[in-house]
Amino acid sequence: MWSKLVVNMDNLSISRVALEEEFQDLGGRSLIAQYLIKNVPPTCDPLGEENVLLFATGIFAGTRFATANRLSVGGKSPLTGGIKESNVGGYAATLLAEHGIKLITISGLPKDDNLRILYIDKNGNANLLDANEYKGINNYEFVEKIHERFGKDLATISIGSAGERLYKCSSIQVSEYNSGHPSRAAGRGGLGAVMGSKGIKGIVIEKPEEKYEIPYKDKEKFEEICLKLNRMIAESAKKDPFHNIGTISTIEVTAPNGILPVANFSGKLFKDYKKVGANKFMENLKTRGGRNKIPCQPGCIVQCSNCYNDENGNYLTSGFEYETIAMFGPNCLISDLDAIAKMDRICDDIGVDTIETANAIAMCMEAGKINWSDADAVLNLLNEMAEGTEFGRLLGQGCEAVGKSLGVERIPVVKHQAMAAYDPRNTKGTGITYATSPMGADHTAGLTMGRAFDDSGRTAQAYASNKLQVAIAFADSMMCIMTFANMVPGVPLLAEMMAALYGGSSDFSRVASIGVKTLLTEREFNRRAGMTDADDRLPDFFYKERSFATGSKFDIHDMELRTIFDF
Amino acid sequence: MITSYEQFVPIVMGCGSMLRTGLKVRELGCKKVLVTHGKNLKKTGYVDILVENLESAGIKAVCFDGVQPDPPDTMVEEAAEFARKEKIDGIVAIGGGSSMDTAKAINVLINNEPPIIQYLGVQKNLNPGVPLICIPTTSGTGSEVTTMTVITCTSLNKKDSVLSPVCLPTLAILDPELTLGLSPRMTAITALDALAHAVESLTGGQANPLSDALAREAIRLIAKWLPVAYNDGSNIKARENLMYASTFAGMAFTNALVHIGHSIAHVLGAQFDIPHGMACAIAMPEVIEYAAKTETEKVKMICECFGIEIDENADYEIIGATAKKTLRTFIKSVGIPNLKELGISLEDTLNIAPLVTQDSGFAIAPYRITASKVAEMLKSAYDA
Repeated sequence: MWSKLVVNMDNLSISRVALEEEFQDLGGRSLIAQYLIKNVPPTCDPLGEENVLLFATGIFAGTRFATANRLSVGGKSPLTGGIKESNVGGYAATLLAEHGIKLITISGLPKDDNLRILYIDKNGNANLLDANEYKGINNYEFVEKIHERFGKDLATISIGSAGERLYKCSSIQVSEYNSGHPSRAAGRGGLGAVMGSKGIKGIVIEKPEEKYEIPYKDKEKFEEICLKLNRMIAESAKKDPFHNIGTISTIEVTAPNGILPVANFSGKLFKDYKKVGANKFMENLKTRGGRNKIPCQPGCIVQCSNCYNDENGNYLTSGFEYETIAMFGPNCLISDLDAIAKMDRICDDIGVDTIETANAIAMCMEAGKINWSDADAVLNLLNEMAEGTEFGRLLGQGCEAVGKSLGVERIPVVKHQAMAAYDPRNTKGTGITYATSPMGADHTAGLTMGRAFDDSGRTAQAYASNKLQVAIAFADSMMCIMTFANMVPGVPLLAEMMAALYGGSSDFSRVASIGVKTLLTEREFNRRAGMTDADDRLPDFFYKERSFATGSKFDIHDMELRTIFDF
Repeated sequence: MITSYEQFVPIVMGCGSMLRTGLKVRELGCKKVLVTHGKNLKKTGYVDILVENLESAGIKAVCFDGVQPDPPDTMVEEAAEFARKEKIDGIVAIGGGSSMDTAKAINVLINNEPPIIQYLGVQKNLNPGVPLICIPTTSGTGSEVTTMTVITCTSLNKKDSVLSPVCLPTLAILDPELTLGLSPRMTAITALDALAHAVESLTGGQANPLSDALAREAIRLIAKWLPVAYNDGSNIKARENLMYASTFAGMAFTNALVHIGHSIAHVLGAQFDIPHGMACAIAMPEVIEYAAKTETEKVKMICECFGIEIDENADYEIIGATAKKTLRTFIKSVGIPNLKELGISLEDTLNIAPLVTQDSGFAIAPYRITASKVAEMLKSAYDA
């Protein structure tokens, strides 16, 4: 049976118990939704003792299914004030699964100011170790010190100085498979601050000496379907630009069509986008000894990660993604890929969400605090965040806080969370997802681009958003969505795989209902937390201002937003 | 009867749609386009926005800003020379009928030798031009969806048309916001041009069920929304409906053609320098009354589009008289003067009747009439 690691920071106790029967065949986002609604008061202070920080592995964790070992982090979000599940690749979930741990719950608040590490050794013993020596250091240094102390056969989950300072945009960084770089981020929603509030600097998971034996109902059947799906994914990935280039390839689609945000969602096109585009990226990798096609977790076939070196060929960052490049780049009118890579490195290091932070920076540009295109000024502001200056701390509170403080009117947030790199006027279904996702403005919750008739039109956008939000909600419970995108024809087989693993029905409705139930549970959590219909809308300026690239406004009727989850 | 509807232009429509131009032009594969416009339009700022929009989509734009009303052949030849020299691979026309017709004439001359005058009439074998995108800033001509360009032949002092697939725009972009600044007078004149297209194509010999549907809707929309836009130019709903009405009417008449109303208008325009839309309106009631004899059902439809109920047993005379009265009341309600009020003598008016019968549009009249009958129509309209 899968187990649960229960960490109580009130009395610094740890116990390992069997995971409740009702949660056994859940995982990832679906497990987090069900656990939170049953165990966390939705009105609680996200940084208070009633909030619980969760780490969950997926429904197929520990199996050979491609990207089955994705890690979901959950809790009440200090940024949105609602439910939050932020999932991340990296090595940690693989090792948790090998330990037979499906869920870690960290509850309560410590009585002291000490920092601690949750340490899971190779025998599966968990302890809280003193971590005061790591106070104030950032993720790269932390990982280095952990490697020095415990060796490299482990995975880390950590926060940087941002999480310690309870920045609402702070991330939780997970080390990448092989390299160990803390470059995989559970970025959205400020869960790093929840970890900081609990005084946990990091979680260190050693590779177990003995792997947990997964109790398959029908292992042979499972392996048969799993192989089929993995082959399908591998075949499809060969043609996937995310595999052949990386997520940066998205810019080649979004930039020419006004979907790429430019100058704080001005709706304009960015003529210099090729300077931060796929060709430039590939050229820099090639000439500087960088790499793409890197799996962030073992067994990944899509391999969208990368390693990006500076002009001298030295490692700069990895997991250098489209969202980061778009939001620090064109949305700040910056076209210097190396400068953006430096920004990414700083964000990973201090542990902040690149999307939230880059949007907060755009607020500074919109307000005239720094100039558009000024990459040096951006790096200075990021350093202020690292140093914890007064303004740096304000930046740490995210886009909305910065925008309001500087008197900006055009603040691109939903449920207090900044928008990702898609202009909702030119991919309206994504706008509908931004508006209605229980997670706040979030691209991984249901990005409809290219899936409705016309990205800038109305037809089928709400339909596409609904279908995708459901699909993503179950995909987030069992795999990486990059893999999911490469196995769409095989989706019905997921139910058969669940039946072979856990028993029970092999009907697809089992999988679909995980998605529906997760979404409805998350919405209910938000409703109890005080959210209303008004929280399911985009900022006014998207309804009023035309995108200069297309003339389009976000003209989706409220009724379409209101009825999106009427199943 | 077997009829056909053959000309069709893809359309992007809606407030703000001018900003879609850059992406659409890029989709058409253009790298460098000629933008045609008149000098006055530049003052509105729309031309600068359009050029910025094109350039932001990666398309070079050169402007021909010398568009004149009733485009003279000399002007379009000069513009075509400029276009050839600039090696443009697309044309974007923004403006009223003159700008669009200039663009069409340039397109004819891109791959066909000047002078333009040799191509007047129906041309089936011209060399094709380049992608042509039309963005109307008035709601009247419908040129954005038609196969013809009206050119003033300076040597002959008369207007005539080139009808050719080369003149058919590749794309029309209908952005009603561009018409918000039109004066009440211009609003009325242009909308009555569209009304003339609709009523004449409905009653013309080449009418077909599809063009009829478009024409009827155009008449309904103009009847309802012209008075609104005339009294409140900022009413965007009225502007939208007039723009679509104008395009519907354009679609109708490029397939079904117009007849005597336009023949009269062409001569009135050339002889007395009366704006085209106003010239179309002056004798429209008489023309439709005349058409009622053979096109009784169609004229009845016109009355119904204006909300006038016609008795089931009414004959063509009653229907014609009703249509005449309805149209005249409507035209006068939007400030259109009669010929007397325009200071033209009755004698001069009646003298143009023979010229009307020489206009090329006369060939497609519902049934043949004489110059003296045309004179009767003009006399009736003179001080009505």
